[in-house]
Amino acid sequence: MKRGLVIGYGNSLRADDGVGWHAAMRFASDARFADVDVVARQQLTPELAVDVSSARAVVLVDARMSGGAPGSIGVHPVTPRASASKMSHHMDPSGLIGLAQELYGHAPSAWVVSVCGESFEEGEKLSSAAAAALPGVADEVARLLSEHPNA
Amino acid sequence: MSRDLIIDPVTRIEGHAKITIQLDDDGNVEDAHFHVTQFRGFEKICDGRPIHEMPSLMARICGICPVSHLVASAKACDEILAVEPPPTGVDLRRLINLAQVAQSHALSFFHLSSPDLLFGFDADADGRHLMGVYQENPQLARDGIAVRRFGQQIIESVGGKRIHPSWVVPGGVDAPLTAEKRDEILAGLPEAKAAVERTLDWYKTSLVRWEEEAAAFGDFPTAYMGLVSPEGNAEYYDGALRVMGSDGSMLADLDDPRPYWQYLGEAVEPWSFLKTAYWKELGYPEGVYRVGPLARAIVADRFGTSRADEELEEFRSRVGRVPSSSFHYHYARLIEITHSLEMIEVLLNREFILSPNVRARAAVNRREGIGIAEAPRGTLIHHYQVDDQGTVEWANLLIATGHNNMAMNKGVLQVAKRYVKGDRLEEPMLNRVEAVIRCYDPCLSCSTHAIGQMPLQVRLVSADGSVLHELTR
Repeated sequence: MKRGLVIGYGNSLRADDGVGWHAAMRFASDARFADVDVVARQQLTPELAVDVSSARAVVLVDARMSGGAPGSIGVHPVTPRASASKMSHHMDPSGLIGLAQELYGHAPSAWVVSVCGESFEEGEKLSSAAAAALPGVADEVARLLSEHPNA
Repeated sequence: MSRDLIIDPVTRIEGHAKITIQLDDDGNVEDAHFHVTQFRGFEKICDGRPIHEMPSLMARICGICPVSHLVASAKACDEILAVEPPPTGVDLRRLINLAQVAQSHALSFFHLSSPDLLFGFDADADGRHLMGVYQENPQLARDGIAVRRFGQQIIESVGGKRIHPSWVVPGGVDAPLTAEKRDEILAGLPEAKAAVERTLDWYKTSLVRWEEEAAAFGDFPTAYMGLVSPEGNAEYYDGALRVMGSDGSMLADLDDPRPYWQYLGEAVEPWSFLKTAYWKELGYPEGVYRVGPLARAIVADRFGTSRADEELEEFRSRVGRVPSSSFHYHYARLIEITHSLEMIEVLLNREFILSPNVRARAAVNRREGIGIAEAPRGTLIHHYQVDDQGTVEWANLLIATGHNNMAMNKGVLQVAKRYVKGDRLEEPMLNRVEAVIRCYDPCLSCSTHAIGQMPLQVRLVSADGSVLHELTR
């Protein structure tokens, strides 16, 4: 079983909505994530449940639309939930971790690291606030994985 | 007083559409229309773009089958450059297109249609969805995930991106295949094959349950169209375009299908942004034909790989040589996944698949190019005209869903006539009207993300425009 899995997701064509995607791309050159699987996705899909089920710990990086100043970073644990959404287009972190348990028998410890976005308009660039948050996001993800090596 | 029943939006399809069912004075179904309500305008977007941008730009037509548009576009660009891609470049284009077929068919069968097939068309919509499948039949769910994931992994591995890869370029592909990637794909094949075998067994065992639906789901005679190889095998990249009549007669076997305007017409109706293609010889609207997995299983003599050909033989013994029901798209889709996986293995084991010679380079040498390939849903035709510098001056696209447009409308009408009774809308009727559309797996555009819920809204509207009955789920 692998040590950790990081899933950065969001629409990179919608400015700060893609902050998770940008974070995952950035992790590729960060030595702290050398033995961690890092994937960048537009959205969460059922196929990710396979990867989730084979990881000891999972960190999902996403944008949030409110709940703090632009660029503020939040961390919260994910509670697995049995399948609730009717459509694969609307899978959320709890549903994904729950699906891993339901279909593959293992729900790893999981957290969401979120960044409060400033702009969700069309565009490939992050706002300055979201871009400035990326180093902090990397620190939080690294901390979670190192504090829970056997989660 | 005539009235309209409106299903808006149609759910579990790729894109946005609605269905209107028109009732006559006696409350009987008079007509039905499948409306595509989104406008993309890709042919106009192409104007003024440099030719080398076209494959990547065209891939943006769709988030589900971008690779097939990429391939058809690159072939049109090959013509404009007047180049012949190296054989390994062609094989690698074939490889990624077959991976596209496998993953897209898996999405259609497992994610979109399996809830209807597993629970039945009369089941409550609250449980008849993808998550319900996960709970009711976890093995089917795992198999669906495995097949789609495998196809996506191939596309990401060789193309660099899971969605909208830009690896297929005019003249071939951008980089050769590495031994590591080849071996990784080969290692994943047995699991994917086993998943499809289990699903085929399940589907065939269950086929008897849907005899009634099969008899009403777009069950009418039409022609069928698809690419075939010189040996008569189903083709996805190149070859002759074969058109077979509903009685099995050969309407055309076009060795050079590029002058498509000679045999296909394009019509526009005021109630839809989707243009309608028709077989010119039969005229409009009589020239109905179907494309996609069912069409390919019919027009081809065989698939050309062992397991797929065994399954095709059984398919023909069960549903006939030229089945008329659109319901059998599902069955054909599963056989095509089998064939795609087999062909991927064949291609990867070819002697020169790791050759570094994968791309021919040239400047603009022609003012016009046409590329034809098979997408998961059917035949794609990309046609461009450029100036001397290679700037696109005009583009025309004929996509699979446009070929199937008339057949989908006929299918909706047939199902509505059979299941719509009176002026009340009942769930099982709605399910079937939507499900007949899903047989074709129409790809109206998946390049935008849905925000929030996608409710099914159904309205019964009187001739004076007042809403008589409305349902939302």
